[in-house]
Amino acid sequence: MFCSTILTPHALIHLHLLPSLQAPAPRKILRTGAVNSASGSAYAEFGNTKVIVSVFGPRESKKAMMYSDVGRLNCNVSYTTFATPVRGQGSDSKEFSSILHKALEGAIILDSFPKTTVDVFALVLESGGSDLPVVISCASLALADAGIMMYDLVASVSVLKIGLGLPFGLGYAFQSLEARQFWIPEVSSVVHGVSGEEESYQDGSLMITCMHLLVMRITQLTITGEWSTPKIHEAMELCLDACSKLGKIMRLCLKETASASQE
Amino acid sequence: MGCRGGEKGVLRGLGGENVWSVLREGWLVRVLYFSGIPSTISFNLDLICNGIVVKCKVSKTVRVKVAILKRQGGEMLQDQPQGRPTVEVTGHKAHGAVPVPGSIVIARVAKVMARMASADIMCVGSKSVREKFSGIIRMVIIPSWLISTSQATYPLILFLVSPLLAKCTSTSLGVVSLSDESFDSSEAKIIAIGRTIILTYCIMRIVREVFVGHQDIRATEIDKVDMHSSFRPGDIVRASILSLGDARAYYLSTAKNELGVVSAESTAGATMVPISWTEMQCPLTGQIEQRKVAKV
Repeated sequence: MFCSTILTPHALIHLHLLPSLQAPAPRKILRTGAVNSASGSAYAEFGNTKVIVSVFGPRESKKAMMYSDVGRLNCNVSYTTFATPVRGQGSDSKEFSSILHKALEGAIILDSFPKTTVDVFALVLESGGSDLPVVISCASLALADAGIMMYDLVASVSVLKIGLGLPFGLGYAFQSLEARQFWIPEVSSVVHGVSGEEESYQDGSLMITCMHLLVMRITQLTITGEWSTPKIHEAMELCLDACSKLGKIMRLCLKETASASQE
Repeated sequence: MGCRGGEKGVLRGLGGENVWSVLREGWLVRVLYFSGIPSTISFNLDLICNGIVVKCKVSKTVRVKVAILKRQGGEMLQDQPQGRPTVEVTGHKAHGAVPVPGSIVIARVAKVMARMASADIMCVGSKSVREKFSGIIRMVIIPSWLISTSQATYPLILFLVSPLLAKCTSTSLGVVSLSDESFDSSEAKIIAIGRTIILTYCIMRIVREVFVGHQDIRATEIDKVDMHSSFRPGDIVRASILSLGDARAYYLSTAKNELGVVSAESTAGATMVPISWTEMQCPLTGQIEQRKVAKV
């Protein structure tokens, strides 16, 4: 099944140009407490994408702001100048700030810190594709590290559609902590981690941000490109499954930090 | 049922039961509430928020309902069988505290003005904050006779001024008896006076309550309070948060005995020693300065 879908010449060309199919699965790192001066922070590395998020707060709002009974969330996503192969502003970084805000505000209990502001600063150190899902997941880890009350951790996964819509690529894949490779048998080809090159070939993308613990709640869904309904279903199933596994990995990461600090 | 005092004076008992004990001065009592269980506390300690340790000043028997979730060693205790088990979660970080109305805070006085002092909140409860919050201690001045007059003299004053008031109020408010014509003029006058006495007494009481509620610095001798003789810039004060206030600052209050200046520096630069509830003395120069001292 793998071969039959790749036999199209279009896809064959893609196969040669898709390095991650041949390369070993890229490493994934999730750490909290990376930044000492912040209330909470997290560092995430998925393949080539490296993101560090620091959370400040709850701290006093600026004097110019109006009084509010609930807390405020302020998000900022920025790229370093060396993040992309071409030096300069990363793609859509202004949009990313508002997307991050929308993804997180559904999960944070704003009533717990009235009149104050929580600032989330995300810095993309290296952009290796699928930046935004990594930023969102890392930001929710950093918020948990800061002790901000939330309904649930927010995990984010994106899926790319490459070529003629046949193979799927998983926006960032993940491994269980025993480093077993994870295959999705019903999908004909799995791309472990999407690099920037693969992103440039994409036909469409679907990004889901969800909280999965008690009830599966999706806080954000972003679809770009051409999708038919059955493909959307398939992609969503894939993503939700991946989100729940990612959520478990994030929790393990937090527990490790907590048990390490207790010792 | 029942308990005994521990070495440090901490009441120990299983969660949820009624604890009867004699509390002595200097004991530290931890009082916690279960959510959903009505509190039947009847004692005169200054309380309380979950988990805040209070100091007990009374030496008589006091009834306290104590629900201890966690012993000093750190084990979790479960509720009594009919109750639900409760787990308390405490954050591992010392920072991240947000000022909550009713909590005791430590603040440093930044500015002292005629009617208010602005202070930077540095600690909330026992946790320090990473970045300071702004707070304001306000004062409203009202005439001394309104406060220091005892309740017994209210009617006397009202009676003396009531003829004037009777004319003004009964005509302006339209408070006229139902059947004015059936009474002769003297009786009507007495009735009108009586009505106005009650009316103005109520108004005076309301005014007193409203203004007393705003006395944020000292509870007694309010008219003699001067901001500069209570705080100076640089003093460390213990205050309680009255409310979230406005967009700029939290409203603080030092209107209790145990609130006020905890530590202050004299003009000579030495840490002053409190000598009374209103005065502190510099150990180097012997100079006495006025502060509103907290009863620690």
